[in-house]
Amino acid sequence: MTFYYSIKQMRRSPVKSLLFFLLISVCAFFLALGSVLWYMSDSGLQNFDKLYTTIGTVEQKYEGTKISSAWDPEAQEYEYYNIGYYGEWVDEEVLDFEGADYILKPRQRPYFGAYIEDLYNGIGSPNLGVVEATPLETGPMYPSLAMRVERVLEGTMTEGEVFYLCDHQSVEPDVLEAGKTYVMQLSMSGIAHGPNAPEGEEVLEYQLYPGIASSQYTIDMEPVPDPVNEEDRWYDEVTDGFYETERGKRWIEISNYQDYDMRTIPVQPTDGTCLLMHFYNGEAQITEGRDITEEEYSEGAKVCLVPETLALQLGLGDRLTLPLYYADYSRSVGDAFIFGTGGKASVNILNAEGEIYPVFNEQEYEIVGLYTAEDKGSGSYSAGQNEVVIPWNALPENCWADNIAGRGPLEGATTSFQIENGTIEEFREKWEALEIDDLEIRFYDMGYTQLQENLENRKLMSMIFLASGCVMAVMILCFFSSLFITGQRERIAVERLMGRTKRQCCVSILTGMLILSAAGCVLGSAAGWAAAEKASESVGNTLEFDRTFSDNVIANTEPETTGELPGAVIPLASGAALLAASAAISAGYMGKTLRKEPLRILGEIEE
Amino acid sequence: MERIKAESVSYSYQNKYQTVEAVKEVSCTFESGKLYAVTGESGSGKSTFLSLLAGLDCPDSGRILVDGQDISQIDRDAYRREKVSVIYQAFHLFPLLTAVENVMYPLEIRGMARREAKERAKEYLREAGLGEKLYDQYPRMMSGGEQQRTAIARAMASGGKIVLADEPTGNLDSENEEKIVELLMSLAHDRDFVVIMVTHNRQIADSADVRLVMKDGRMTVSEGQ
Repeated sequence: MTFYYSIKQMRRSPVKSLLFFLLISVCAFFLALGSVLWYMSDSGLQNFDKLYTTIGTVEQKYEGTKISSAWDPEAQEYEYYNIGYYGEWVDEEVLDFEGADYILKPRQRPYFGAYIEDLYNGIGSPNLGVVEATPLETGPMYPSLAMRVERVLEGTMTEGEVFYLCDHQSVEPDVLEAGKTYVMQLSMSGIAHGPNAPEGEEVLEYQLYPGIASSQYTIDMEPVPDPVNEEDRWYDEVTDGFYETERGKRWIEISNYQDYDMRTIPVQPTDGTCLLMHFYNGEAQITEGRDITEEEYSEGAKVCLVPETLALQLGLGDRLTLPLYYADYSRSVGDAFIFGTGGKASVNILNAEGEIYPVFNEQEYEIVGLYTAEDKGSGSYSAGQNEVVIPWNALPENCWADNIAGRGPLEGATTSFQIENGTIEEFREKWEALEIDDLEIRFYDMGYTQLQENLENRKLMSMIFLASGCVMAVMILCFFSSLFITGQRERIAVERLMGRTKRQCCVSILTGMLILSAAGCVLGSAAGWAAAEKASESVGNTLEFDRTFSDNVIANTEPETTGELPGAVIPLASGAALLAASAAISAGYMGKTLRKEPLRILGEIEE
Repeated sequence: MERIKAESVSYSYQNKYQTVEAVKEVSCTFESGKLYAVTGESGSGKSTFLSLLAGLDCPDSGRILVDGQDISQIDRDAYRREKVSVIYQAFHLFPLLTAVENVMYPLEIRGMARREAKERAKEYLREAGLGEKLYDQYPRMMSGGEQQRTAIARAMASGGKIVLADEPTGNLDSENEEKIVELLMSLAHDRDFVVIMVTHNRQIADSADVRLVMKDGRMTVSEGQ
């Protein structure tokens, strides 16, 4: 009965009812469209948030430039050039300022040298060697001085072999005397030249290498005093009992250099794979296994990523022992272990006491991922040859304090941090307020900021739809509630006088209106959903963005790049919300009308 | 037979500016088979008294007994549904329902099946003197007298035997006025209804079995009781 009379009531005022139905449908359309678009934009942002990473790199700027000079022995004059110089090295702690909301805090990362015995089983390199040699004739080391090998301490040279030695740096090269034997570390430098070089014959020329000098630093960036640095350190005359002296022992120690040089791999500790630029920019990608997880990084799990090229007959799940013996802050791993050049100790491996750095930490690491890396010419930001990545927290804090072989200022390739996506400007403002001019911070977000702007615009558009839908809905519901309910005060009063309860009156009056509302909500929501789908397709077709670096770290992944359609739930929910609002507003009007005493209502109408 | 008894009934309500003591210490009784006329000036409290009798509100003090039951103690919605019906000066038919549907409405409220309700509604309309061709007409197509007959038929259909009529002839010409009063009279006399009619019209009041006069909320004169 209630249903019949309510529908009849609506049918008897078709224009009003149709108008109400259409307007409610439009509201439902806007609400559904707005909420679906909002959901899609929001889920799109969340997808992008997972997909994109924002990092910052920190580099100390040169304080200025100065003129430096180098002796050109061929021109017999100095060559002058400008070089940049740093002021006092800035500590990473300045980056720990108020408001800096890091996901991964900045720190200056050293890389470690690890001695891997199985890495190399050849006979050594002709490029380097430690030998005792004597000049064929007394003379200065420039131009090339012919020398004969008397004893090989290390390397592939042979006894009796003649080589040419040349000092390209000194204005007045030392004179080596025939008949005396000198111990020296040699490094191949090219083809012999000058008047002493054999005519018509190309023979190799060597230069001296200051291997016995230590470059050890304390953890506070202070050099550890080494007497050799104050002395002539390029060669020594071998006399009886020389190898019993401190200097002599150093030459014995350094004669292990090639062994270490060939068998040292860099180990890069980090708080996140994404902080390593070669992984971040896609030069390095995990091809087997997985990345080290956030938890593993945070807990300092003994896991590692190794390059495929570092085969060592190991695979995923195997354990790799890393005896770490020195730490180097002076260069990035990409600079120190240049791609394609094989192993290299890269620093002076003697400490200030003249001994090879002892192993400061030796642990087993499970290989969880294999990666490939290629040199794409990004310089310091490249991967290092044979670089193994481990969690920073896998090592006790500063356990390498007594094994620091090199120190340098903060550099982009060694100092980086991660912040929330989309917070670059906020971070930059807070940083600039500190007015620290010595450091330059560069941000990388793979284009997230631009994408975020696009999606935020879509979100704003959806909010406008939502807001206009809401405002329209409230206005329309208020207007039509007034029309349908206040305009039916007479009927309500009469029904009350007939003994209908307030609740029955509500149902009687509101049923028709709510049926129209429900129909409008269903139609409008369905249309809104369909429109959102169309809009989504259209946006998908026109919105392009650079995914060059989007698939970093893990290779062959196909990320979700656009917001997903939410299914029918959201348009249904928005329609239901509109229907609920319709019920609530009309019930409000109804309550107001029902509060009045019926005879008084009829009296007012009669007046 | 005494159907309704008012015992020292007082009632006040709050309007925007003040508390209005609309009904003061009213006592009276209403019996079956009689037509009662309540007269008084505007604001004298007669409509408020009628709404108290209709069970739309409860007295502040005193009580109203219907068939011996205090209506403030019973389900007043059920009371209105089953025992009492109201007729108005402006008829207050549902404009979007036909005459027969207007009369069917209270029957259906009480749970009667639609088809049966329709037959019964037609009977009531016939008894109220409405021509058959008007059954399916909407109120706006009918004259005032026809509308009031429909309203009376609706009151008859309500099931109760108490009819409260608030100025039922106020909008009618004198010819229709007489016919409606006759109809109400026949309800009381022939069908044993209690009909309580609020009216300004002295002549109509005089034709009632009992005339009550209200002034300033008090039942000041009671004639015929």
